[in-house]
Amino acid sequence: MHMADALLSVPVAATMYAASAVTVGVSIRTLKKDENPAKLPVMAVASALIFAGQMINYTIPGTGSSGHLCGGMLLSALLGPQAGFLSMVVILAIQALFFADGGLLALGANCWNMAFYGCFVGYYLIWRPVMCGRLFASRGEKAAMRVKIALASVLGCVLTLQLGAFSVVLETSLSGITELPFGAFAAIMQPIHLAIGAVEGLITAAVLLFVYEARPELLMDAAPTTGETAGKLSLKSTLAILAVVVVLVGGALSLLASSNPDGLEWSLFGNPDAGYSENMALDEENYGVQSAASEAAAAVQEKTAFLPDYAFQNNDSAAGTSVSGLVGAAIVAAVAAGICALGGFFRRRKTKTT
Amino acid sequence: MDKLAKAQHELRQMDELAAGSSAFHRLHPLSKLAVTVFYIALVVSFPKYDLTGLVVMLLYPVLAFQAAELRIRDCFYKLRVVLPLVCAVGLANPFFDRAPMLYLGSVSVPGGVVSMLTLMMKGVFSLMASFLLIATTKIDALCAALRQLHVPQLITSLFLLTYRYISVLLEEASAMTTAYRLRAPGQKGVHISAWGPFLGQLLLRSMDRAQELYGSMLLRGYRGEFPYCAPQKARIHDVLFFVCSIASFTPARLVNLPQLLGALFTGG
Amino acid sequence: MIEFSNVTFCYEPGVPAVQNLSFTVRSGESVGLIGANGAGKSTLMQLLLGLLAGEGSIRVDGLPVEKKNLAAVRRKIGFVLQDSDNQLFMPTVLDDMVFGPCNYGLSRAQAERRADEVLARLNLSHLKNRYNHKLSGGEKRMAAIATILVMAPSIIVMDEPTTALDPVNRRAVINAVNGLSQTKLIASHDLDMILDTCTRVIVLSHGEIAADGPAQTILRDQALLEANRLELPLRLQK
Repeated sequence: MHMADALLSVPVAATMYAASAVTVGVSIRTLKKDENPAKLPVMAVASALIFAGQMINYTIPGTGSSGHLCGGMLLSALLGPQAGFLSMVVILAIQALFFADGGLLALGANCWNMAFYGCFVGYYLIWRPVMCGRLFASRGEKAAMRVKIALASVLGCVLTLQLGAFSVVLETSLSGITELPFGAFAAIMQPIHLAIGAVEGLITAAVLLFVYEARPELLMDAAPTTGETAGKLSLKSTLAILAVVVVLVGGALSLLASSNPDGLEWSLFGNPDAGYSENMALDEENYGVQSAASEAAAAVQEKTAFLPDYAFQNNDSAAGTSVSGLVGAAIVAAVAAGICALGGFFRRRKTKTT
Repeated sequence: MDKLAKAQHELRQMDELAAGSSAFHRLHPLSKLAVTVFYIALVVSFPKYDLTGLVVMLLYPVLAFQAAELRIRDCFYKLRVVLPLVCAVGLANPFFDRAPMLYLGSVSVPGGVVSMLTLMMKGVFSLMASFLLIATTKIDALCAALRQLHVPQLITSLFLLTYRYISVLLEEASAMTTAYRLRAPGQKGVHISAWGPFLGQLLLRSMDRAQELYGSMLLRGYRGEFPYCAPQKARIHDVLFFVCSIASFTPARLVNLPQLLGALFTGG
Repeated sequence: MIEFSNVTFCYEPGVPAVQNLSFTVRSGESVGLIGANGAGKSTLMQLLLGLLAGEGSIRVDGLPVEKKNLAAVRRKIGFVLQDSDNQLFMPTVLDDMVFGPCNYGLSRAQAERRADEVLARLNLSHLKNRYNHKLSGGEKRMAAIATILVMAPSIIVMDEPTTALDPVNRRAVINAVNGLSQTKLIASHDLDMILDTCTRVIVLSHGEIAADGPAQTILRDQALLEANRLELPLRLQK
């Protein structure tokens, strides 16, 4: 579910960065109040563990395929939502930087889609209520705990993956990247992630149950006595974060929508049978998201149009796809290849002489 | 199951590349970071049909790869992670957007194909740029630079520690999967009966490790502060690199340069 | 100088891991700590470092090991862990070496100078800028020792310093240990190494001291060693 840079427009990416950055800030503040310096190494080792754990293949019985672990739920069950979120952020950053999983620009969106839902929504909406609730009390404490852990893991993974998948659809559509209508895109993504979520939930449940049997004190809210007051405080602050984030995201989305009503409307209610130009009849010159940059570009193009019969001035043939454009692109590609060859040549000479 | 070994290899490879000493390696991390972010943002902001205009952006990574003495091959290996999702999204375009955009002789190319190719190129270019950043910047230098940008210390310290323990944990997990595989020939992954214990055991051991690690930090006077290497001082090259990059990317985004170039040859 | 008097510690109530320990290690002495698995060696070391707190009193150079003195006590003691990966937690060897000195108030430049000195002394200058996760097992162990020496401790505590090392690396570690003038407390099952590095040996059994005396005497006492699930050092076997 890692989004790549290419799937996002700059405004959407920046909005998601802002939302994730606010959550990081609030999480750090909450953690600082605890003043528990021992938490840093635990967080580091736990995130390294999740990183490695996500590469282990779990065979799904009856199928030839394999599933993976859900990092967000596991981390928030082990470390709590704030520390879990920060750990996930670091994992995602390392995946983006060192393994090209995700991207530098998409990091904010990926943090939101995976870490925020997995840790905050998963913890406050599912893990805590289930674990602290009086469910299955008739089965005895230990058995009830086991059922609750399994239930919370599966529910949490399914819910957080659904939210994450929906965000991917929303972000991609708002970015004006895909021609796939919003509804169709969601109709593909949601069921796939329902299945993935169920499997990830079961794997996560298996791991958490094992931890519960061996060392229950490692799990959040699994100990018989739970500090109720501390929990309430953090719940309140989380609600505050949520409110701030909703306002932020909502504001950004409405700004985006008003600057590009056609794109959003089209992606939501577009007619998939008609071609792009028919749906975007009003916006043919600017293709896609009309940002300040593209407006400036248009202005500069007008000013620099020293030869008025150039193709990109001509509305009938879309700029950039005319024959002269293709010839130019081919020349650029040839130059690039030449640079590579030259670089290789000099390097070989260098290694020979040294 | 080989994924773990591959990840270890990839991590080592990035370290080795970052240890290089080319002029590009020596640039200030912040300068490289700013240029990379600017470059990716520009690439991503290209209009969806502007295939030829985008091509010119290829020149920055290609030039920089040569300056940094990196092979483009190394970075293309990583495309296998990025491209699938980009392709999955992009492949829908030709089906939904069939209006002809361009005629090459008698063959018409639909807009969907053009936008799909543009999208894929954006994916490749942004990957090349971020690969370039990490392959030429040491992780501790990057963290020191992030501290200069006032990224909270908790994040940078966590980043450093996690980075260090990823290789330890990858090694342990890899040893465990080998041990598992040797006793379970023919199985592709971990069987359902071992789902919990497999990672669970590693988890318990890791928590003990964290405890011991914390002890060893305490014994060396840890009080919540990490000593970072002194941030590199910005030199005139770093500023020049930044200014020149911005000055050359911006016109490439505003004007379709390949088109101008092609027009010179085809006569417009 | 390390003084233990009547130290007892229990992980679980009623099951003491170490019991009524009393002994003194004088400045400059090298003491080997041997005993079966679970005899209490690790617990003893953790108590000394203040990572665990038990009953009785422990003094390091006259300072009681208590919460308010922990920083001062830990400054005097360097601890080499059994798993070097847990000791080397920064990206590169140099980063790790300056971690301790910087925390004790040295500037980065001063700390780097000290690190250079220590690395040169141990013939490890080539490791300086290497990544920790790319070191071999032997290099990791030596780097871990270097991170301790750079803090100039007056007491060095080592937990199994020679496990999983090839003979050459093992010899390198032994030589490095013998080159140190500090007070040393070394826990190990490698009795040949203890014989090479220590003048005195304490045998722990079920959390209590079973024997305490010169290395040459204790390590030749076959009956005592076998009663503690140990064997004569290879060099002393006929």
